[in-house]
Amino acid sequence: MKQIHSKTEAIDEILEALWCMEEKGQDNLDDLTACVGPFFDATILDEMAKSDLVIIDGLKVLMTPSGREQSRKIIRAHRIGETLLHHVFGWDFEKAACEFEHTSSIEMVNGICVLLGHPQYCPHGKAIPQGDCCTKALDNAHSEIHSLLRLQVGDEAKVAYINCADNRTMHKLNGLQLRPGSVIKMSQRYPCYVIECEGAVIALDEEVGENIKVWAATKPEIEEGAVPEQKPVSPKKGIFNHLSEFFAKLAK
Amino acid sequence: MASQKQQANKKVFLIGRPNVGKSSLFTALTGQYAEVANYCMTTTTVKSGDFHHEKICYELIDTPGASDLLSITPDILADLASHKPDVIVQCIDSTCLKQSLAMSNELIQLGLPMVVALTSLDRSSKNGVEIIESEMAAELGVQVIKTNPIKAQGIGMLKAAIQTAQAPSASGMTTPTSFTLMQEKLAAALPNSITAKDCFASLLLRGGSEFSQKVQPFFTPSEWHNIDKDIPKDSRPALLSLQKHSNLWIDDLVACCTRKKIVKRSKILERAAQLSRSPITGPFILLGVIYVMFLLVVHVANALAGFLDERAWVPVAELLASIIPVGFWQDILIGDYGVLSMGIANALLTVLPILSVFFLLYNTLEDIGYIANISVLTKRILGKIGLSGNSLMPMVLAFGCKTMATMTTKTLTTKKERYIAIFIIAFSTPCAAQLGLNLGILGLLGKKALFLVLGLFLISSIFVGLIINYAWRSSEKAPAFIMELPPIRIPDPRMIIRKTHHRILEFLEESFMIFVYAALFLFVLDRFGVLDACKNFLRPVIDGFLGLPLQMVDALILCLARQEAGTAVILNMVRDGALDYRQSIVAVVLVTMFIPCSAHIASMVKAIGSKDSTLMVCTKMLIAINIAGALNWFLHL
Repeated sequence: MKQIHSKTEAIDEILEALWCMEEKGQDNLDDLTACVGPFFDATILDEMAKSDLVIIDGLKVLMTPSGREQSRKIIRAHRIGETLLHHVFGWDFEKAACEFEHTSSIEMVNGICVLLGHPQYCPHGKAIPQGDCCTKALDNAHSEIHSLLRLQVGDEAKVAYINCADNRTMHKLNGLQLRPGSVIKMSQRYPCYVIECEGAVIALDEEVGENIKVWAATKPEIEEGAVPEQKPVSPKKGIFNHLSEFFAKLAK
Repeated sequence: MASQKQQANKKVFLIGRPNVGKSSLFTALTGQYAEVANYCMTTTTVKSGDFHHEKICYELIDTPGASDLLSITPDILADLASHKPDVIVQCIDSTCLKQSLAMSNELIQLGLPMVVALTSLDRSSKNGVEIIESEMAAELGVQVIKTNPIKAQGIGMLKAAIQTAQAPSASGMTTPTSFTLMQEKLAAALPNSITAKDCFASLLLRGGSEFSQKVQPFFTPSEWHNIDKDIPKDSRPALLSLQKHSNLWIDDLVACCTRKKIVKRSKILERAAQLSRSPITGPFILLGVIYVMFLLVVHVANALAGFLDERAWVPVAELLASIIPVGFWQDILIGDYGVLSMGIANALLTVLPILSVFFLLYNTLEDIGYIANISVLTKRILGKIGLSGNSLMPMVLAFGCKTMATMTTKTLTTKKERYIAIFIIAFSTPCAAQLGLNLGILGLLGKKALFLVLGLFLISSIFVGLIINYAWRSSEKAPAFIMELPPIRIPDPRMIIRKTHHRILEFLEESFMIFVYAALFLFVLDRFGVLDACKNFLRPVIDGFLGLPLQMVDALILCLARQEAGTAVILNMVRDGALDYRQSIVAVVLVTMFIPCSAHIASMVKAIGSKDSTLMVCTKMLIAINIAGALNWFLHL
């Protein structure tokens, strides 16, 4: 069972529970006590009402806009954390993510989100609230995971996860063995994407491809300290090279 | 006796993913022909046939390909859910083993007697994968038979296995508890009319709203209300864990029943597929293929038809003309609208040779898998005219048979896309028979005419599509496009010959008598002067606007009955010199675009209703006349 260390953590737990209840369509005080568990403290809830995080209306408990904003951050951190641990380390994620959600560093959460290629669902399949980095679509070079569309023809990559809102498409992809862990090879990019996966050749449109996230191609490992071998550059020959050198000299 | 026979009748369902060879297996088991092509969704309707084994009669039912039980058509699902089949035969392509196993798992859970038939073993062993069927059988708990339907190997064993088939002794994979709880709750809410409750509940949970809509008509409103309230709105976490379980189960199964060898794979076929799909080399290969087909139709088919006409028909006609006195009997037999001349000779001596050669070529391309692979090339163009990638299959099928293609459009989910696809299929894609005869006509005119007409078809379909797409604003969102492409393979001459033979037989069965009746019909119209009245009435359009001889009216009327019949009349007119270069081209364009054949109209009515299809056919006729008129004017310049 979770250990609640401080008051802020207790507030966070209640806000998290309220978010999850909202997803299920619940707003009852009893549901909240059940959701938070034995460590539920009514005084903290009262305090939260005073500091304008929640509104208590009879048996109903609702979040205020500022409460919802804070709750959103917690849920985002929790689910990003889960996704990180699940995809990168393969850990049992629940417990560690519970610790992770209390982090106050938005930058760190965003950083991990970028690293993971802006996942939309946590390993349980629950929606991760979007952060600044996702809305701005900062798909920069630091991502270890990116969409399948970035693969070049002939590249092979392992599927990391699939962002997929609709169950039917998810099933269809899974039926074709396009799933986390399977290795795919890009065979064609235009007029539509064609990939090879488990012996089958599959044509996809951009929308589906964008949502299939793969691990960035692994580069050949270089031993520490070893100097990467440099290809000897042969001196360029030919009349056009001489000419271009000549013009380069003239320009100087 | 009859009742005894009925008792012995056992129902066998043939199930499998698209393009795994179900139809070949169907043919091998029953000896009846089922359409086979190297692309997905060839089987669009349920087909059934009988076979006997040790005095028991089995009814084999070939189902349309489905990647899992969720994508099976509602009526088959209803049959499966109510335990109707006695045995299920799952057809598994051994090159794509993993993809089929998810379905095996679902079928095992049905608890019905089941047999697995493995196909494409030669290809999988070329890829270095050896399947050990005894281990697979032990894991699945059902008999696994290696077959090669084309060479009729393993069919006897399969029949024996069907006879002794038992309910699976293994239970498939274990479901995660979170899912089982939901499943049990939902299963309890299902009415007693459904026997495989657990399985059905699992499908309802996994299928989402799309599946719910599909099965809702099977229940009364109150029953459905009961069921619907037990379908959780947020079932994704449970689904994900189910999927993970199933993937692990599949991986384990494949790991223990296959042995891998390192073999040097031939990349030539893969490379060929890539080249034919590539936007740079693809169009050139396509042009080349069309040109080669054109040359063969011109040099082989036309020559054959000409030879037959000269050696077989002309002597007979002359002989008959000398025996039968001029008058009614000569007219009805060998006159302009004679049963022998316009009916039988037309069908057997003009159409049949050209179609045989053309079908042989077309079936070879189909068997290679070329046609589905090039369809990828047109994806972007289709997007511009409001069609998603999902329309690729119906469009490809349209070049085989428009009727079948129109029926497949029901898989398109948005109304707009369905209408555009049906319209373009009706408007400017010639069906195989017509394409063959068109090639025959254009062959008499030269390759410039060929590319002019093909270009015109392409441009006018794109243009029409663009207009509809622009005019019809729709907020419906097309579903994600995911399509499996068939591998390019070395064609099997036996398959091609069998298929060509079947297509020709089909042509003879379906159209031969129509040629005769149509000739009779025209003869009667002519006798009573209706035909001449018609021609005079249409003179301003046919003669003035289109610049065609009035004889074209015959061709247009024949087209209504059967496209080939009308086109054959034009072919004869071109051969006799009744049409010049310009007129021939206008005539080919007009006949292809103008009138759909009666079976095609029926399929349109089925797909979009009589009101909309009437509107569509009228619009298309109007556009076709205008295009042909414009072409006539343009070629005059």
